[in-house]
Amino acid sequence: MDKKLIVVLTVTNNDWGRIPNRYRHITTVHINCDNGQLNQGPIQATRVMIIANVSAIWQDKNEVTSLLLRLIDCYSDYDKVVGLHGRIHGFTVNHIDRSRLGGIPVNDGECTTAVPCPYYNLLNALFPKCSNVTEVQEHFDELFDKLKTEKKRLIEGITILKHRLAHLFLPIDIDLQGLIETGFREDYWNEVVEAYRDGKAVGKLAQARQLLYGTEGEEDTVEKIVNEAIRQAPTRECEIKEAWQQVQSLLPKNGGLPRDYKDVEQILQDLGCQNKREVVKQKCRDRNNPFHQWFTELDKALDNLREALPKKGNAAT
Amino acid sequence: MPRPRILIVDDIMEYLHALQRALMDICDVDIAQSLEEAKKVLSENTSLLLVDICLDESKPGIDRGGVEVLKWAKAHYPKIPVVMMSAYRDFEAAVECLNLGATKFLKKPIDIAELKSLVKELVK
Repeated sequence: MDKKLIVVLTVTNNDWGRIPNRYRHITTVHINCDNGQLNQGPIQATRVMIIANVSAIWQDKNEVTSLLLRLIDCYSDYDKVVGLHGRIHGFTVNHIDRSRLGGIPVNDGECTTAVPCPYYNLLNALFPKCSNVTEVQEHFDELFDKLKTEKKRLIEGITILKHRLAHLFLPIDIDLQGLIETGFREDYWNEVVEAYRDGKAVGKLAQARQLLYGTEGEEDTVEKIVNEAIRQAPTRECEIKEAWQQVQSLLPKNGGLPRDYKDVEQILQDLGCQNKREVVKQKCRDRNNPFHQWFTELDKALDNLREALPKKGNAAT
Repeated sequence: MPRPRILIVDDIMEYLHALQRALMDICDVDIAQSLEEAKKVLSENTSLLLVDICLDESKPGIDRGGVEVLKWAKAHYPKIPVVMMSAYRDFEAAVECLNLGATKFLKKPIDIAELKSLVKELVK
């Protein structure tokens, strides 16, 4: 069973109210930002909820946002639910720099009570429809299940696209390796030409670009999944972007392939032409099978991108 | 000595044909796209089985149809070596296949020289 942890970001101990008995089944950590110590060490929890209790004391919007981001980063290995709550009606919205939070979905449900704002009021604000402990528990789980499903959808999406993309080029990869092995034997070449006649091989580059970038309004593309992943897990933005840039550099949206692999397009073009055997043979010999090198690099880059996607992430309360 | 005969099971027909062309020098190659097709082709004359883990293109990373082929082959023809392949760095799947009796696990893209020497070694 998941162990739940609620981390509350607040300002001073005075803000902290007594924890009511009915919420004691959920572990809580109260983090006082005054001492700047956000990391509480290893935690025995699989699901973390972060609640920032934004108070009027924090006048500096950047400081509040920085603290919140640091706190979220401390728990980057966990599934998280992020909730922002102001002590005074409407206050939170003005005290968080939303642009710096990237795509972290936040709930700025308001806690309308006057000072002091005790913990149970925060929970009541988070779970307004829950009248007892069991309902709170169920709601907590519901939020995380939704989050888990979303992460699974991204990983599955990229896996399917990677599979389709790999299968565009795997047969060509085997054929070129086989041709090189046999010194481009004529009967072998003739069979390969037959398989890729009419630009069938070079056409696969366009199909691969379609899977990566697609066109507007179409179903999933790798680019769309990358953007969605960054929106959901902004703390992993650099890692995801770096992996995505590697894929893009090997198969750019527009223009030709990178300089190291400039022969690949021509090889694919010539693969369906009976009279190009010597040309393809020469290019494969001179540059040591550039197609295999390019394809292996692209395959690795897609594997890395898949691994960079968030398996854990954030959801709003 | 008769020419060795191997069976390759993969869901992508173009890939099966490319492997058939690449291996025709050293062995006869039968092909199948599913467990049902593999059952019809696999016989005591088969020297080696080469199977992709995923046999449903619409469910990569999820479908494990190839594992079913491995189980069936090991139950009916335990002496035939089985080599598994996958397009993913899937450590768990590799361990599972080796525990079920697979001889080797290859990651796609496959190095054809390596595959040829493996085939030669296993069909001896």
